[in-house]
Amino acid sequence: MSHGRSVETLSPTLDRRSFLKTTGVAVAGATLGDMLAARQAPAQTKGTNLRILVWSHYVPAYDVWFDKFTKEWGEKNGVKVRVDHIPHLELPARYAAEFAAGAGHDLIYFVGQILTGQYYRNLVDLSDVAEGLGKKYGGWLESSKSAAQVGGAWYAVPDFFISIPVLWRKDLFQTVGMGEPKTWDDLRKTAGQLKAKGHPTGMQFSHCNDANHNWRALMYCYGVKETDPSGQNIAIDSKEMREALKMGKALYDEGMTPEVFSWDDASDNRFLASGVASWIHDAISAFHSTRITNPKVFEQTFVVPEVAGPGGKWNVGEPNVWAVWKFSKNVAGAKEFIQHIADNQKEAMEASLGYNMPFLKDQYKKPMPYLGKDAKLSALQDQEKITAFLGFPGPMTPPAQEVVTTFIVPDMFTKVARGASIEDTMKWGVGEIRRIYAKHKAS
Amino acid sequence: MATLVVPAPRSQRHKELRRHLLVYAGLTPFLVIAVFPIFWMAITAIKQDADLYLVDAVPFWFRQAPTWKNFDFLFHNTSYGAWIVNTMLISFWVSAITILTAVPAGYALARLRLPFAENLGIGIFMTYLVPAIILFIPLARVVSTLDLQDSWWALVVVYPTFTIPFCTWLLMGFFKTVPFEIEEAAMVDGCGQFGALLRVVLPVSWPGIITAIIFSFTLSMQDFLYSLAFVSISEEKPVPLGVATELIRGDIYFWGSLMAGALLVGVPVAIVYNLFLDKFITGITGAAIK
Repeated sequence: MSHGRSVETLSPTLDRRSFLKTTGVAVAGATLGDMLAARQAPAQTKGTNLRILVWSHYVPAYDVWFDKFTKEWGEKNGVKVRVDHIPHLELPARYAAEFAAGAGHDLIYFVGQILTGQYYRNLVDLSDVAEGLGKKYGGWLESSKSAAQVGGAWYAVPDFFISIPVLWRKDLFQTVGMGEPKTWDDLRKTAGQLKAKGHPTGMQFSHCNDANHNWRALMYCYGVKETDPSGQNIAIDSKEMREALKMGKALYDEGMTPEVFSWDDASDNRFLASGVASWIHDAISAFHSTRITNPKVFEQTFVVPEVAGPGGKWNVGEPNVWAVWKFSKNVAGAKEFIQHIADNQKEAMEASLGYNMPFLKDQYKKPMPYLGKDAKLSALQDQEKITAFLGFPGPMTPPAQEVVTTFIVPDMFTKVARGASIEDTMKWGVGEIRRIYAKHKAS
Repeated sequence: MATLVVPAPRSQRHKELRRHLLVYAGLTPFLVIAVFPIFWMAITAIKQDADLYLVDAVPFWFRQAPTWKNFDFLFHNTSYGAWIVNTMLISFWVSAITILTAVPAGYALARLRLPFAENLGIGIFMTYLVPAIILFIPLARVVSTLDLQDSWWALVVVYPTFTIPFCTWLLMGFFKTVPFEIEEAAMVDGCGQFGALLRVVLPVSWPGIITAIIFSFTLSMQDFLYSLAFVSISEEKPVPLGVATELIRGDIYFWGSLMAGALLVGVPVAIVYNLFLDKFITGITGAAIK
């Protein structure tokens, strides 16, 4: 039968170009198929070096697992792998240096500041890997494309996203007659009451990642749209944004103390671990670290996927994506590694204590690793249904990324919290955003 | 012959005591400000993690028993030993390159009566003012061309770009304070220009050279951006990069080990610095008055 099919395919009308294309695809497909069946890298990666640059994961145990995982993969496939970890905020400087030098790591990682749009001309098109993974695991979440695609091509492959839920203290909420918070208004009222008892809340009014996603969560829940769905036209100048700014100020005035103006990404973790915070809006790494630093607080800390506002319930996810420099000396090895870690997503998610939220639809089958067996975290298994990404509802285009990296949104909330008028702040913020979009349109 | 000791009048002793009290009272706030970070580092380095998060406790002392585990973590779970060695080697080589370059440059600009020497000196100093955030991108290409990426030798190449301009300017000022007459006297006695520099000018310029060494050493020790851009292998990192990149994991800070790491390199340098304090002050003021 197979022989007969081959004869059919090789019809006399087939020209040389089509023949090469067809056989090329077939050979590539067969090689990939064989490779996956054998769980081994193709011969061309054997004896090569692969240099990987990743962030320092917020769950330190994950890095231990990741280093071991890469080492084992390297040993099995004859690839000498080296993994370097640096904190996420330092990654952009390192990438700028590697880009300028035209040399550096083979496989790199964007987190927090997604630079796919900025560097895509110097990144390898990974569409073959991404589309292969999509087919294998039931397709990508629509939102995953935002951080990984430019012009429809995958210049990055999504690894996972970080979910930013509400972490709240049940014991403290009960003292003011409150149960699980459902809305931003619940959080505001409770923070106001608990601040009087020495338990304020806090969200960063500063230049850090948490400020970018926390205030956007409030914005999206208030119905704010940063752009139209195409991502080309700004839509932030709206009644909803003004309402969100008003709510931000109320949260600060009623429930926070001035220290939030100097907070960094770790400040809310410490705030929770200290036992002072009534609630924080942060990734579950804060939850996990409190387990070690303050077990009593941990016992009373619970997780709500997100609270609702007048515009619905939207959680802001922070995507993490793989990319490969064009100057990489081991593109094949890098692609093979991306494939390998995606195939082992369950193990990775378990090692991250449920922190790494998948981008592939089939990986949401319940029970999900770790989350499915932790009563406090199990609600996060449906998190993909309420997750939006920076630039929402548009994709994370290069100008949208620049708006994020210049912290315009947190600055708008800070100005209003410090007493500036909402209209003046809107004028300033929208002006800055328009300037960025105009610059990108012109270039 | 017996010496008659006349005690100071009571009022004069009181006056002296009051003067001392006032001087020390005036100095105390400065002392507290200067010493507090070191005290905080030291106490945090030997505190248990849980003790750091007790907000109802006085943070300046211990609620739980002190521990050495932060130091233990530093030496057994990170490449801290290698970071110290790298830092010292980098600083040594950078200081050596800087002195070998800045001494002749400073001497030539200050004493050889070259045309435009003053403006050239200002121009050299201006390059020190170019921020690293601008320079690291073109320097990345230099480092890559020399194939020094991810090696601490990259920093030995890069750091003199800011230590040489500063030290040349510093030494220029210092060399100007050395009287021309002693150099001329040496030449009358048979020294050439180089001999006079070596045998007469350099020995009397020792405080200035010490100051330049201290500056280049400490400037090399405190850089973060260049090392971040050019070194990513753990074993090749200097201390500032190592502690900041490997003891901060996302939003989790290993406070105890961070402070222990900073303390172990900070305190010895401060002690050495103090040993040369007189020379340093002479060097700085000597350079400043011209």
